[in-house]
This record gives sequence, C-alpha cells and structure tokens, in this order.
Amino acid sequence: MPALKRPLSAHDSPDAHRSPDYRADAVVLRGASPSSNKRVRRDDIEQDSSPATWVAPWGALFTQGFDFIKEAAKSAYNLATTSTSLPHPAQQPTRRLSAPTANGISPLSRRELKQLKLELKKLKDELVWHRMEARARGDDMSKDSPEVFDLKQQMDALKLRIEGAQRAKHSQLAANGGLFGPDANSARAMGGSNGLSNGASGTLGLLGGYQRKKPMGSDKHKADLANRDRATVEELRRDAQLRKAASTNDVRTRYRGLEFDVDDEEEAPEAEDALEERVYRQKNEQMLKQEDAKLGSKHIKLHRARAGETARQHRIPLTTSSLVRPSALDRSLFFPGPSAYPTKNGVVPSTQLGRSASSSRLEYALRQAKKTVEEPTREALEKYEQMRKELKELDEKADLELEEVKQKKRQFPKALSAEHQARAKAIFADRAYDVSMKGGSAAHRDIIRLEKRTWLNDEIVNFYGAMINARSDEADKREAKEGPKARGEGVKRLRKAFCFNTHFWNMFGDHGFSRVKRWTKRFDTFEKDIIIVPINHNNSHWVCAAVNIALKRFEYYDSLGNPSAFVYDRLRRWLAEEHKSKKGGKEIDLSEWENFWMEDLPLQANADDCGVFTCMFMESLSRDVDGFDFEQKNMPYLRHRIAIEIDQQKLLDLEPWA
Amino acid sequence: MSDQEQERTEVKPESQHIALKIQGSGFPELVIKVKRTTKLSKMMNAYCDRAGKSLSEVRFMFEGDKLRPEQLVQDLDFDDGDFDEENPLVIDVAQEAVGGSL
Repeated sequence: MPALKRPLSAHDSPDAHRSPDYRADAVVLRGASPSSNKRVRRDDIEQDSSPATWVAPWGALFTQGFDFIKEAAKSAYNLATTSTSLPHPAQQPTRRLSAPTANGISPLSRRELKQLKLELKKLKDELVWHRMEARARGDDMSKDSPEVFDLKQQMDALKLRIEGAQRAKHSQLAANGGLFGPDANSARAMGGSNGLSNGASGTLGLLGGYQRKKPMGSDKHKADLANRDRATVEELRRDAQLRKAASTNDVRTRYRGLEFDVDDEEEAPEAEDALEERVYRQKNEQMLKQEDAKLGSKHIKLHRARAGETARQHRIPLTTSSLVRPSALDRSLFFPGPSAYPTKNGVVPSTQLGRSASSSRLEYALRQAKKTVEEPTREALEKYEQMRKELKELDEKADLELEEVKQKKRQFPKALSAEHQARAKAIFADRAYDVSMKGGSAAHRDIIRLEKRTWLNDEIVNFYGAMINARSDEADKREAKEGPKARGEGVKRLRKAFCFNTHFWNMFGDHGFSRVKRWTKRFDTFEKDIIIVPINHNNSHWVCAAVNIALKRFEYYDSLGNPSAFVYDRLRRWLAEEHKSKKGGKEIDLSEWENFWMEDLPLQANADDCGVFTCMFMESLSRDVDGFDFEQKNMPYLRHRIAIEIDQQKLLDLEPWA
Repeated sequence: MSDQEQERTEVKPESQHIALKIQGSGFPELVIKVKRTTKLSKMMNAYCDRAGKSLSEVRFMFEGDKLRPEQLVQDLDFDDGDFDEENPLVIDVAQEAVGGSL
C-alpha cells in the first residue's frame, strides 16, 4: 500500500484548500468521535501528528481514492486467484468484529458510518453554497468552478468509502456465519475475497471477486418490500389487462400477458368459419343425394351430359364468394326440403346452387305464378291502382290517428294550483292527519314522506294501488252499463287492472303460493288485462312489475334501470300456479310469454324517488300506455300531487294532455 | 294482554265467534277468537302488545287487503264456509317497508 505508507503533506489533505474555519471544524469533529482513532491506522498516526495530516489518511483516500482502490482490487484479485491465506499482519485491522480484509478497509461501526455520512452532507452543503455563490456572481453555471470540481471529487470518494464500508460489513457478516443454506458455504469460502473487494466492486467490479449476496438485515427487508411491490404491480397490470380483454373480447389483448403464441390465436375465428363452411357443404351434399335418390339417376345423367362437367363439381362452386358465410335468408331458402321448390326437370340445376340458389328459385316461382294469372286488361289495372291508392291513404290516416292518441302525454306543471298547494301544506302540517279507504290508509307519519325527498313506505304505495283498483272497478261498472267506450280512449283508456298489495311479493316469495292463493278470489285473473305487482326489494327499493295478460308478457320497471331475472322467474311461477288454481289444475303454456324490459325507461337521478316512480309506473300501467310521460324533474310536483290524491282518495286528472 | 285473556274466558263455541290466526314472517303466530262485532283495533293492539311492536309499523292484511283498525271483524270479506274450528281465518301480518333506492 504505497499510497498510504507515503508520508502525507498538508497539501494532500482535502482540507488544505479550505478556509481555516472549516478545517478546524473538521478536526474538532473527528477528534470528538470516540472511535475516530480506530479509523486511523496506528502507523499513520505515528508518521504524522500535525492537525492537518492527522486527518490525512482520509484525505489521501479521498484524493487518491481511485489508485488506492485499484491497488486493493488488485491484491484482492491476487488473493482470490492464488488462494493465499490472510494478508499482511501489519494491515490486520484492530477491530473487534474483524474479518480478513486484505485491502485494509475494515467494516465500520454504525457510529463511524454515520459520521462519514455527516461529512458527506457537509460537503454537499458546501457544494450548494459554492453554487449559490457562483449563481449570485453570475458565473457560467454549465462549467464547474475548480472548488466545486474539487468538492465533487471528494464527495465521490467519500461515497465510495461509505459504500465500501457497508459492503465490508455484509461480507463480514457472511463470513461470520450470517448466511445460512447453500449460500453460506460459498460465502464463507469467499469471505476473504469478498471482504477485500469492498469499495472496488462498485467501480471496478471486473477485478474484484465481489459476488451478489443475499440481502441481509434492513437491506433484506427493503428487498422484500421491493419484491412485494413489484409483484403487486405485476399482478395489478395483469388484472387490468385481463379485465380489458374481457370487456373488449379481444383475443390479442387477452393473451398478451400470458405465454401464448398470438398468431395461433388469430387463426381461430377463420378456422371456425371453415368448419361452418364444411358443415354447410356436407348438408348440401346430403340433401342433393336425397334428391337424386328420389328422382332417379336418369335425370342426373342427362343433366351431367348437358353441363359437360360432373354435377358434383358444380354443386358447390368454390369461388371466394362461396366461402362467405351464407345469410340466414339464403339458408332458409336453401333448405326448405326438395318438394318446396319443384324445378323444371325435377333436378336442381347447378346454376341454382350455392349463393345464387335463392334468387333463381324465387324467380322461377314467380314465373310459374305469373303463368297462372290471366293477362290483365288496362281498365282492370287502373281500377286496381286506384283501389290500392285509396287503401294506402286510409292506412296512413289510421296510423296517424293512432300515433296521435298513443303519443298523448301529460304536461306536468312545476307546481300544483294555489288551492291544491294550500291543501298540501295543511296535510303535511296536520300531525293528527289520518285518511283511509278500502285497501289503504295513511296517517301523518306516512304522508309526511311525500313532502320532501324522503323514502316512501308501503302505506303510500298501497294507498295508491288501492286507488288504482277503485278506479279500475269503477270503469268495469261503467263499461257494463254503457259499453266499452266508457273505459276511455287512447292512453286514457283504463285497462282492466288489478294492483296487488306491496306485501304480495315477499309473501309469495317467502311462503309460496298457498299464502296468496286467496288474494285473487274476487275476480278472474285471466279476465284482467294487467296484474300490477309493486315490489319492495330488501326494504330499500321500490320497483314495479306487472303481468300483462292481454299482451302475454311479464314486465318489470325499475327506476334504477336494472332488469332482474329473478323477478321475471317469480312472476312466471306465480302465473303458472295461479292458472292451475283458477282453471282446475290445468297447466298454462308460458312458452310464448316474453320478459319485457323497456329500454327508454324514465330513471331516477337520486336515491329517494323510486317510491314516486313506482306509484307513477303503477298508475300508467293501469291505463293503455305505450311509454311513460314523467321523468325525474316532475318528481317534486308528483309527490305533492300524490298527497292530494290520497287526501281525496281518488286518482285525479290534473294536467293538460298534449 | 288483558283483552286477549278476556276474549279467551268469554269464548264459547258459538257461531258469532270467529277464530283468527295471525301469522307472518318474523312475527309470532297467534290464534285468537273474537266476536263478529269486535273492532279490529282490539285484535291489532293485543297482537302488537304480544309481539312487542308498535301498531304504526305493523300491517295486518286479510287476503291481500290491508285492514284498518276501525273495521269490524264482520267487515272482513269472508263466507261462513271459509273457516271452521280447524281452519281459522288467516290474518297476514307484515312489517312496514320503505324504499328509496338500492
């Protein structure tokens, strides 16, 4: 180690160029450290005793750090290759936790390390100070001034030193049996070389025998954390990819994260098409064979002769267009069975096969049909045209009228009339308020829910249902007296409706049909147009379902816009049971009944109004409506309107229709 | 409770008495006999006392119709053939339900 052994002058010290204040600080700082003498080798101290050189070993290390490390690395390399034993005894460190460190850099205690770091920080501060000064002076910042350059070099050396010391500690731990498992042996064997390669490995890893070690202590903890984070990120990314793939149904995206050959996946859809094409061709051939067998081989031979080619080749012309999947129409026309379209010679001409088969068959059928019709005279034609025109006009007129009637909508004002407003105010203010009618009753605690945005309870919904039933019954009576016109017209036509109590749904769901069997005893369910079923989901959401007997469909209206399969199932189950019970055990055929969901349903825009929506759905369904005319913005008005209706125990027609 | 005991002591197998079975999910089952001219409120109060519920949050129904306290037992829509000693009239009882959104 010539670099160290050389007597050091004050000039070599890193502090030499600094202000005296700083140097003094540094000395005091080092002198104050109880373990500072450990860092300075005895022989160095003996050589120099002046304050400047007293700190010199480190100065030498800083300024000549690279040479020194090169030397260390070289000796480490020699040691590692020649497998010589421990280094020179003079360089044996005197530390308690000594490990064979041939290069002379011993692992430092935590306190020493801390001090080194403190020095580094000081240097950094000085660097910053220099830079600020330079900036204040207006120097060129792109170039480092000599002081800054010096400082930088010192800092680099110090960093190297700290790093080396940390590594030395690790290797020492490894050598002392800090490692277990398969790594422990190699670590012990490498103990010497590992230890002496510290410092060098960072910059001169090629020379040193440094090996990556299993992280220990806090490093291990950090590594574990990093690994965990990486795994989490990886997992999240994979997750996101899969989700994206699921949503886009994109095969490429779905398999990107996985080890699949994407190209293979790409071919899959085409292969599917090919399969379908094959099945299609097989079907064709089978059908043609059957036809041939029926018609006998004579015609086929004739046909083959005429075509000049084998019929088989003709049957499926393998042009690119024939590879296109045939449309549903093509297929339905192509597989009607041989008897559906009798051909000229009793044979299917080759030109009529494949994709063009349908059109030529149709043309043929048209020709045949035309032949059966006599040639029309001019007068007949004119008369026919005239009639057609009139019919068309009539149709259009009827359509228009129907549209007008169907499209009639209530124009909801912003507020009730003054009179009704006053009444509503009185209702909400009356704490002893109580109103009842057949099938419903409401007290103050119920009706107050209509005042502002509050959840409605079953009393309000039931009361509304009772009013709907009363109106429907009344219409039935009127109809019996005055005829069907008495039910009203267009959207105002009152359906033969029955509205269940809100507890019907859960009663049927929880206890089965027997408990609700008698709920319809006063009328024939299958004579009604519609059975309205208000539903309370989980004591938190009101929705409206209906069994539309006239239109043969199960309907569901949820102001949150969630179609729910179990609702349709339960309605279906109820209707089947109801039919059995009402029609003496006869099963009803529900295969044609559809589950109806309206796409442009008015939706609630808050978390409180579903009860009002449900009431309005119920009321609309009891009329002949095709869609709904209310929406979220009408809700405050409709709440008070319902209160007025409940107060009068009668559904009111307050709004203008347009 | 006293109402009910009173009813029990008064009971005689006469046609003017009707047995009512009150039941519902989450509610105790109870069979009581009442006179035809009794107000339903009497039965309701007795039941609510026993079930430990407030009358305002319990709904009584007979065959899908909500019952009101001021009704009389004979106002219920039933025929004499609908019930006997073995099969009392069933009064469904349910808890108040509210809803705004899920």
